[in-house]
Amino acid sequence: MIGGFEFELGGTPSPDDVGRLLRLLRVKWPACILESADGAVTATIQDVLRNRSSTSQFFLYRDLAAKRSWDEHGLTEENGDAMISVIIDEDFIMMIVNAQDSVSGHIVKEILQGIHTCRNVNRLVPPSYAPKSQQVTI
Amino acid sequence: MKPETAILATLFAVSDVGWVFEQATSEEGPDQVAERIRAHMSKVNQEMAKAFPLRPHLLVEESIRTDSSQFKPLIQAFASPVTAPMCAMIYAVLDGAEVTAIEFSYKARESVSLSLTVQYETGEAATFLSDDAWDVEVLRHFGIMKLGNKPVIDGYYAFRKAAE
Repeated sequence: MIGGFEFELGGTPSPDDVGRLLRLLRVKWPACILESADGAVTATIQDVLRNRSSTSQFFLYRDLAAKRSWDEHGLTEENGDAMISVIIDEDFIMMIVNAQDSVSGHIVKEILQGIHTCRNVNRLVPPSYAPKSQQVTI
Repeated sequence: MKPETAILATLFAVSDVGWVFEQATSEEGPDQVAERIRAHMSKVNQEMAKAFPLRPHLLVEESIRTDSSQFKPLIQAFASPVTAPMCAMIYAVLDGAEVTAIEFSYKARESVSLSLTVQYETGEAATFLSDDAWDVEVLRHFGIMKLGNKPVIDGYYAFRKAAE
């Protein structure tokens, strides 16, 4: 885990929230690479969207070059804004960036706001029963 | 009820649309319902093959059996009168494709027109068209967001129970 600035969205996260997070990030970082916190899983954002990773702590790198830079040098002045740390907990989503007033900081802020707005949009519509007819005598 | 019908009924139940099979009548029993849905799935497979001829896909039924959670919104679509091209569009989005364009127009008691373009990361894109009013339902499932004050409409989401 790195130090930095935390952005947190409260509420129980759903798989849909993670999907929204990744789809929004894809707009800004189309070549994004996800790495699970334990390093066991590394995948492109496309593959994660396709296969739905169940990992709850992961790093999102802007691209492969950013990941390599982090692997080789750790945090540097150049790559600090090219990685976001994510924690999906039971009752919050936390995204950590190197600096609050950075490009990644603004992206994260907008992503969490987007998830927050979306959460209440969809609700299950009660089923409608198929019309039936029968002969009656009045 | 045939065993394969029971599997489909279970998938629909866990996707909050179990009523599709629970409402089976004497005229259309559960096996007939399953047959009708499978015929629709077959059309969706054809639409996917037509839209993305170079891209290998699992068949729809295989996909929903493999991961009913990921494909829950598609299972819900099979519980509504959404046409095969729109179901194919839903499949592609759930498979990771990005929604790149939506055009919608409506004239009261005259016409409805819906055009949806989706694109995979490989650049393969397809536009799905409909003039069926029921297909407008799909618009309610998209993730509508903003990034940098610009619109992002992407992702396709299931209806959830209000208590969730």
